Amino acid sequence: MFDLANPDLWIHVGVIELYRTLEQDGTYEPDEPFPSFTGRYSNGARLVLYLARTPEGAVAEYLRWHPELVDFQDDLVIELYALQFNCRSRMLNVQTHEQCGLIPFPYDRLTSSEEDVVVRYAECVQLANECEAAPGWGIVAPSAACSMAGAGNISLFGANGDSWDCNGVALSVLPHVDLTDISLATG
Amino acid sequence: MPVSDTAHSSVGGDRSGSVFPLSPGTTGHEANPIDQVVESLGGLSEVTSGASAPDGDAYMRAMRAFQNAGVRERSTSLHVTLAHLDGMTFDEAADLLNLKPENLKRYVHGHSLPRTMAPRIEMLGEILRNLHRVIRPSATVRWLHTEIPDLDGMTPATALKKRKYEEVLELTKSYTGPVTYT
Repeated sequence: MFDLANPDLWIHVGVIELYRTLEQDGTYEPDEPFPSFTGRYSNGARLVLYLARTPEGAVAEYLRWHPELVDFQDDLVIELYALQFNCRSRMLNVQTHEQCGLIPFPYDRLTSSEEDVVVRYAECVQLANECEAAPGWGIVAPSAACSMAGAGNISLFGANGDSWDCNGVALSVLPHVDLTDISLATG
Repeated sequence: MPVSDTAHSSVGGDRSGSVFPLSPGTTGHEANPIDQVVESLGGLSEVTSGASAPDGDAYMRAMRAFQNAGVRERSTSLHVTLAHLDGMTFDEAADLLNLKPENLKRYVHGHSLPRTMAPRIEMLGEILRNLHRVIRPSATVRWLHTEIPDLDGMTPATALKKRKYEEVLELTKSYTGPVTYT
């Protein structure tokens, strides 16, 4: 059980541009949240839309688990979308060690990489469950994939129109991300 | 290297690039559904050059057309799969299907495919379709020869030669689908 009562743990991000990659001819919309059992903040029921704060962060998320494709960046045809959001409700903010310490929550578990997905995400799923119950409508956290300045992730909970609106979707140019800026999964 | 309408004349000959004769008439057989679909799409050159284009649109149109036409023959799957192996030699393609080149040549020329070939052809086709949703078809050969951690350090080409079609298919499936910020 985490203590999420401290107001310093909550943030209203408001209007913000975020990024997401999709494969070519993907069968879902760029702003479509989805339930899964294999996402960092997913429990199989909660709708979550995983987004990166920077284009490089989004590409790094893709390459993190596919290191063999790092050298194929000139040949990648995945699509990078820039999405415009208006986030109307509060989100849990665990971007820093200090904020994690207020809970307390082990900061390094926000970027865990174990091969076993259940082990890898156990604490994060629990944090997300309690965030949702608080209620909170998403989590602002560090990127497990990208070490560049400004990188970070925002994971939105719920459907478009619940607590956030996506007001614009545009294809963006895929940036080249240096291998040294990608935290490759070690699992 | 896109296959031209006249490529069939040099099958087994001195061409060193990809040589996959899709053209009707190669063996003098009657026009079949794949030939009709290819013709409706503007001919073999259009379809095969599209297969090597960065966006693969022509290939996808061809695939949909094949599906819409209800074509299910194994030979169709073989031709479509081979058309997607841009830049690969005939012998290398045969290797990926665990066939002797002379046998692949016979099948391409219309010899009846054994039923046991179907899973291999279909899985290789799906592998390539998944792959080309994330990288350009022109990078296929390089990818096939890249060592991959999820394949225990093997290259996809080696894994396919070892008949690990399911493992390579799972790998390419993991290239698609939503990223969950890992």
